[in-house]
Amino acid sequence: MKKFGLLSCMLLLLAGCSDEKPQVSIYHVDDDQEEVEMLKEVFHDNMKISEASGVFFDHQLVVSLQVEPLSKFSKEKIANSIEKEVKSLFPDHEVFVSSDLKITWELKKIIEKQPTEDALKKDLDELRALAKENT
Amino acid sequence: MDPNSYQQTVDEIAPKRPVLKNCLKAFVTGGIICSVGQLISYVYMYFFSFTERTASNPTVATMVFISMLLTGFGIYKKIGQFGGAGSAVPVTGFGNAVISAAIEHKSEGFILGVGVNMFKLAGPVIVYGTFSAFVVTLIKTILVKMGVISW
Repeated sequence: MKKFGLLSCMLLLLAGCSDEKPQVSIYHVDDDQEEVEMLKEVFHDNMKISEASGVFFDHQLVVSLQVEPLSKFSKEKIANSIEKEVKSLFPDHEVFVSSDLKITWELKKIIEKQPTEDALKKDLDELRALAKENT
Repeated sequence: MDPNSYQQTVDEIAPKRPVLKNCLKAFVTGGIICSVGQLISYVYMYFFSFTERTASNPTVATMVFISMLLTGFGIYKKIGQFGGAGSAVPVTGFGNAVISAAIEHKSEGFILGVGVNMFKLAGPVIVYGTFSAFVVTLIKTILVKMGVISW
């Protein structure tokens, strides 16, 4: 039993050492692969990000990201630096970046659904309102 | 018998406290309570429109409510005996302190017993919690105004 406990502890510890690239999922309404690849590049080089999602819609770009557990303390800073980077890459887009888990879940739902333009506009407006909620 | 030799005799006779074991028990109990809290906050985020930031308020309320129920049923007493500080330090300890004081003084009547004594233990938590929150906010406001940190 002790050996089993020790083994599971070691496996758990070693699992944290895996050097995986962030999981990135992006949805572009007009299917512009060039823009999608540009956004993907931003996340691939960043080792502090574990997961990122993005939705392009009518010159709007909504991005959500999750950081690695050890970088959670500087979550806001990472989100701000990513926001700056994305804004410089897409100057003609209205960029919105969030590091909130709820926003990531909702954005992933949207990406899975791949909704029509009208539904997407409604979903993204709801998402922004949710992120602004402070109470 | 002078105080020093008295203390020495007490130390010799009193059973040794298993400090490490107690710490470990407190760590596990506190960890389980916090994991339950994390799970509840995920439930609020997944099924309701709470974000990571706003989910903490209903989570705290739910945890306090659960600990109040457990105290009423006599289960939190057992958790406290096993976990010690691990069950008292999280917010659930607050609920336990309120309800256990209420139960203890129920025989003295609802006004002079329950009403007067309910916050006997939890009162200082509220007073110093509010005061320290005020001090921390004051420091943070000054630092934000100086441009050292942002909200």
